[in-house]
Amino acid sequence: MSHLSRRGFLKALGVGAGALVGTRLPGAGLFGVAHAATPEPTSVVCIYLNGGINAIFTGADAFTNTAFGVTANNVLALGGGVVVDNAIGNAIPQGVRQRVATVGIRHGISDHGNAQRSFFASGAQSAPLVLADAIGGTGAIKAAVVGGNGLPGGGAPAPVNGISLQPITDMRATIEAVAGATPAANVVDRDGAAKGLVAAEAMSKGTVARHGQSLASVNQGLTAAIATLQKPVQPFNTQEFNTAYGLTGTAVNSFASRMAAAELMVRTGTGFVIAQDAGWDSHGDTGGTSVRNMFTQRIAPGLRTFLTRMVDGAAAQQRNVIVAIFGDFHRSLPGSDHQSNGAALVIGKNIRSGTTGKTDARVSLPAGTPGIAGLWQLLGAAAKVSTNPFGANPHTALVG
Amino acid sequence: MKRAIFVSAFVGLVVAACDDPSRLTGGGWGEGGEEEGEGAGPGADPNQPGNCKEGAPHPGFAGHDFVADRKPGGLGDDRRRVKPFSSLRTELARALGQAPAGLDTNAAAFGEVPPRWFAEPQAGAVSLYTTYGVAFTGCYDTMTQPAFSQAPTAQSASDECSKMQRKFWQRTPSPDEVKVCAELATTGLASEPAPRRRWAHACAAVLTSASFTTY
Repeated sequence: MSHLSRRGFLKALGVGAGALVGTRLPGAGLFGVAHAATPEPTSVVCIYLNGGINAIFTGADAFTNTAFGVTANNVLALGGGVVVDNAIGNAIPQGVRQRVATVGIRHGISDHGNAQRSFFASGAQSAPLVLADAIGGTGAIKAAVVGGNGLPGGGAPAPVNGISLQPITDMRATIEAVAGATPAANVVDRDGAAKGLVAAEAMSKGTVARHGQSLASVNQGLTAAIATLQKPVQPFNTQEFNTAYGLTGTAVNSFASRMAAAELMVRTGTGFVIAQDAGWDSHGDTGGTSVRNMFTQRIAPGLRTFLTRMVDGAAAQQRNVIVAIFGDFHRSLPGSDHQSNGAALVIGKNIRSGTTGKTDARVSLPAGTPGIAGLWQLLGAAAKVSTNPFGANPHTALVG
Repeated sequence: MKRAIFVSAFVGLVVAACDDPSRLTGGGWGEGGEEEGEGAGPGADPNQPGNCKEGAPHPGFAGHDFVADRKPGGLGDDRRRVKPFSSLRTELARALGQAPAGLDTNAAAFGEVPPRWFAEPQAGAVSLYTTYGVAFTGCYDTMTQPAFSQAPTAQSASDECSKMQRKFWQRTPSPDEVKVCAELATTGLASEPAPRRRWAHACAAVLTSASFTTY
């Protein structure tokens, strides 16, 4: 165990002063290099349909009267050639329907594990954390998974430039961390907790060093917790979220609660948020009934509320929130099995109506359609990061 | 004669057990603090790669060694895991003598695993802050002795921190670990006017450190 000097300990206690001046100043800090990365508060929110995404949610008109139960009456034209099933179309507020694109992803992968790992990798690094690092921002927690522990197929990724993926599983506990609890003699105060956690981190140093991989989440969690407590108080209350999203508790254990938690994290300044939903490996759903019902009943209510509050109208003046909905791959024909391509439905103020993700009637994408890297390149471009870490956006027509 | 042999064996066992009290509770295995042999160079520590036989190759078809890509690591490294909430609940009760108030209402902060499913527990900023908050309440509520109504001094903080760490972690703390805790209670929290709250913060910090939240 390295020597813990009195000076070092007091220096660690004093890092809060550095944190309070904001992360948009240049220079390296305790939590990685801060970036003056985006011109306004920016967040990318990924909604991942674990198992796959039916192409009726990204280009329904390819199947009119031929497959997946698509007719002229159950689709919605959003403009720019984007035609989607009513289940998802009706979840998009009128005011942002001109800001929707479908992004083609010709990844050539048809097994779940490989697709999930590949979607969230950028070389040897975690693509979400690379993006969160590029976005920068003021949040102590730069990247979050709401209602889970890690990314699809890959668990918790290794940090990028000091940025780790933090699990958010309870709204009240998260709000207390950013706003503090109601004061009482036996209730912890944020200032004292920040100092106490710095001490806990110092006492953990030897153990964490010896178990660097198995206890990586402890190391990252302590760092993020201290950073959170050293930020100025941000007032939130659970009742506001419960009312808006129709929730009765604070546990993040339903899709609506994941969207509520996503909103909380966006408002605290988190640059990347992912919400997963399971059960989308829809084999045999040849008429698309199962996926329509799941989307309508489970996804749409929370998604509509989130888009209304975070992307539509006045919200667009305050921040740039980009929502990307995708899954392992498209469902193939005739049996709704595994197609080796996919598409993402992307919504945001910098998105232009259009599509590179519309398939033909056999769920094939044109040769030359970019792969997974193209999605991250587009997200970086839509986030308006000063330097796109993924390279130039190949879907140039879709970002304004 | 038989009785003499029995008495000698018993005394021998007692002496051996009392030689290092931490041996009784799993301490002294080098977890966390100043580890025996830690920092020794290659060739000196048999727990480190290169100093012992590391296993035979397992050649398969075409002479391919199935274990060729195994990365050597030190014995006992990367063994500790984050305690799940179910363990944390009983551990806090063991450490403090009673489960902290509000512990169960904070279960969701640690992630809920559906019945009959397993998910490897992961710590996070929110779960660790929640651990600290719950521990603080538990510590404050149980620190009713007169000693905790006095502001910590360098000596009293060092003594109490050492006691708490030994009890909570079930191993003997290193001098540096005691020092961190004692400095928190004295200089770190000097602006906290309530002595009992200062003690509770020191207690909560010990309970939030990796030596308690992992096993």
